[in-house]
Amino acid sequence: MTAGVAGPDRPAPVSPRAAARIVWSLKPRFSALAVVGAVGALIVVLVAIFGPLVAPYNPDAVNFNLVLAPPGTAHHLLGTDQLGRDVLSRMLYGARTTLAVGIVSTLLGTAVGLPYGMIAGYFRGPLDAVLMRIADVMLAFPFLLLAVGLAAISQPTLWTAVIALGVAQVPQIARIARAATLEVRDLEYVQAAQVNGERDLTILRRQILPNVLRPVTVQTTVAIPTAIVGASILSFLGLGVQPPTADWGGMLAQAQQYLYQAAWLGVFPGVAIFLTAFCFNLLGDGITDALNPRGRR
Amino acid sequence: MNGSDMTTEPPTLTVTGLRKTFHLPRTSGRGAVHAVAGVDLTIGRGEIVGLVGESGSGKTTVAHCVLRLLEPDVGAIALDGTDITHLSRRGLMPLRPKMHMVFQDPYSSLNPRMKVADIVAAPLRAQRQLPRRKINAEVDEMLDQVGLPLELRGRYPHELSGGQRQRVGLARSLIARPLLLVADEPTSALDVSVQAAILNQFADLQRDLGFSCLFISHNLAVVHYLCDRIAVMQRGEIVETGPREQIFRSPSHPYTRELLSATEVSP
Amino acid sequence: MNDNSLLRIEDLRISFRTAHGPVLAVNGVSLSLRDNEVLAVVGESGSGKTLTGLSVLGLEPPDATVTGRIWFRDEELRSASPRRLRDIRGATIAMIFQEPMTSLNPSLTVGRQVAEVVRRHQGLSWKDARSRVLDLFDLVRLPSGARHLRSYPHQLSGGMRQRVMIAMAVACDPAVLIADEPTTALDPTIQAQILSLLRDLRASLGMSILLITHDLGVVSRMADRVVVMYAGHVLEQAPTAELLSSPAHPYTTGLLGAVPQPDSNAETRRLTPIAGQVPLLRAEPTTCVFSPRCAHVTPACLTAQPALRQVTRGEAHQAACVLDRIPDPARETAPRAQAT
Repeated sequence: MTAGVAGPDRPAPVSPRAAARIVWSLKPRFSALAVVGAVGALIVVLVAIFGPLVAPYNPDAVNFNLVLAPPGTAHHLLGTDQLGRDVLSRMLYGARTTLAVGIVSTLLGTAVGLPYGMIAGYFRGPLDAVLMRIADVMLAFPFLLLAVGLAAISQPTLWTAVIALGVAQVPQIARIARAATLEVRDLEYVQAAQVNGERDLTILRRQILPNVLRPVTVQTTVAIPTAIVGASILSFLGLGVQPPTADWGGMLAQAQQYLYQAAWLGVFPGVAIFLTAFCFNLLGDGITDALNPRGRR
Repeated sequence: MNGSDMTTEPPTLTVTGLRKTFHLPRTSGRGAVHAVAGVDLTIGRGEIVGLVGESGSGKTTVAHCVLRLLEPDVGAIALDGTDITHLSRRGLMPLRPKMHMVFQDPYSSLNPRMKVADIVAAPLRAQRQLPRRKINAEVDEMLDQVGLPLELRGRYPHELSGGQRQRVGLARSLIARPLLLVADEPTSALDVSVQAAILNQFADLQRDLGFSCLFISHNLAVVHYLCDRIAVMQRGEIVETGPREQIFRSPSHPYTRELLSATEVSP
Repeated sequence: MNDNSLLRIEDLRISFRTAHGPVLAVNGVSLSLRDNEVLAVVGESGSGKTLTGLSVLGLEPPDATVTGRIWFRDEELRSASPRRLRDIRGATIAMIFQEPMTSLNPSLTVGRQVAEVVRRHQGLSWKDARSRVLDLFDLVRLPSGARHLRSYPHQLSGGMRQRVMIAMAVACDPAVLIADEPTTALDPTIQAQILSLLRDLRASLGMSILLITHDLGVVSRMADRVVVMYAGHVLEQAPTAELLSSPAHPYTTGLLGAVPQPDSNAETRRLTPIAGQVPLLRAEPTTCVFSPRCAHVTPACLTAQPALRQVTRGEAHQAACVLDRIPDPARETAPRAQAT
């Protein structure tokens, strides 16, 4: 066979320099917007992790001498709220709470939804029908209703918020996982694995999962901003994190009364929620685009 | 290759009265599809039996039932004397090494994310009986037997040509030394010159390893080249069976004759 | 044009620019199709045969660089205006493809699709078009034609869809029909029916067919003359019977030897595969393109790609080979096939 001759479906052997060029071109192409989103999201995450360490005050420390101080007051960069608590410190701690609820609930939803969808798609038949009908029912329940229900059973806490939001994510992720599973389930190499005598679990892990991970990852990154806003909504309505724990949604709720006197109490958390969701959204879009198979070569 | 001692060894494969029906969702407008409507087939030791039919004849469904990728509705399938018709997944596990399949499409029959060596080793690894070193040795030997250079071990399917991929598929299906190999149109997707090489390789392997084979194809010329006996299938039923020369020289069923006249190559 | 050729391709060259450099997919192909004849263009994947067929109607991919001339009667098609090409396509020169499912619009009924062709080129009213469509369905032997006026492509079988495609192609009585692997995706018995339909249509409508295929069986049943392509070059051309009985190029011999032929009289001889693969040409060849895989290669083969020259035996039989005679392949012992 002639060395160095490329066949119709066999690439020509490459020199190291050409190889480096090819690898470089495969780097995910992030648009400028996506980079902005990534940077923003990263900042928020860093604030959530390290913020409380550098917070000047205890977020719960009340100070009746300095109530509703405007931003720029000495020692209180962002002012104080109606109980004299430092807004900056509350914002830093609130980042942690909001992000935690948003991200953990999404991870929970993925951890449950992924195997749910894979099992439904792989085994099909009556099992699939039942699982998907249940998922449809879940889809019909807005997370608010779930949160209210949970609040009725027990005290609303951070965890009831996480569970409510997480459960609400499950059907969407399950659907995507199921669709991705169906795509590869009937391919001949999966049949070959069955003929090999591989166990179903092994087949799910080695043959099906790699194909499912990509779309599910995309969905997860897109779901995080929704969950963050959702977490804020819940605490705004008093169905999630309870005061006095610092949390952006809760801060927004309390700020309602003081809209005319101390508008900053609402502006800071509101803008923070918006920017965080926006940045995660941009990041999610960027990841979606980067993971998409590129247009024809 | 003829079957040897028929009195002590059971036939490799016995299919009796096989039926399989698919129920399509009502929305598609079609009701039940009787893919296989009563098929009887026997394959002796070391015999290559060709199953010829066109699309919709049910031949691939027969293959899937034989390999128990599907469960038959009616009828029985016996592999080496053991009834496997309604065995559970677990019950089938120990029998899996006795039968395997070569697929038509060289592109979708190999997992694109697995290396060649892993693809070929998979049947042995699934059995969990041999140590890793022994498995690797078996893989190397098998690659050599199918005519692939050992340096392809670490490559991925997309780096190989269509013919090379089919050889990998052959290696995978034969590494556990099955008694029965089901080949579903293994050369239909290949260029003419490559097809010839794969067919020759197949004939050599069968001669060396002595497995029985159910060779499925719509191409009578290919079937004539490889098979001892031929079964012709139409619309879920076998309309004629017989030794190769009998089918070609004196076909009795009109459909067989129609197929034969459609595949003549006159020099 | 001088001779009686209906369609003439002169020195066609089609190349693409890829990440790894240029690819010369068609490299100096010339052929001619005469009145009332079936010319088969045979080759494996990568031979350039499909591109050649597409280029006649200007259907090659937009990133292709095409040079050469294509004459239809007295008209040079590559310099024709887009409007003129549109008039020609479908009416004077028609084309059918391998996979009718992708060439038919899935959201229109087949009756409508055929009617549109007729209306566009012949300006008929819907009513007249409808009866013309029924006539066409009869012509292509589509059973229960009237019923299928309102059928959608997915409701028809592969063979029926191909008949619809043929109906669309012959609707305006074309002089030339280009058929790109028209039966490859079909079952053998349906294939035979479609081929016989094409033969009959050619006789009754007096059209010429440029038949692109990889299947030598189809060639033997359909073609008057054959052109064998490989890696963008024409390696041999001859009348069919002569090509099949006395091929003059080792590639043709190789192809014939690689096809299993159930011959009830002779012993089943071992197939002789051609080791190696069809190359992708990236530059003008400095040797014969087939030489890496040729069993009869000589030093002369490594100096340049041989030009087509008359073969001493037959008339109108040309081969691009330096050899005058090829040793009989059936007598050679087939080597253990190398991994291809």
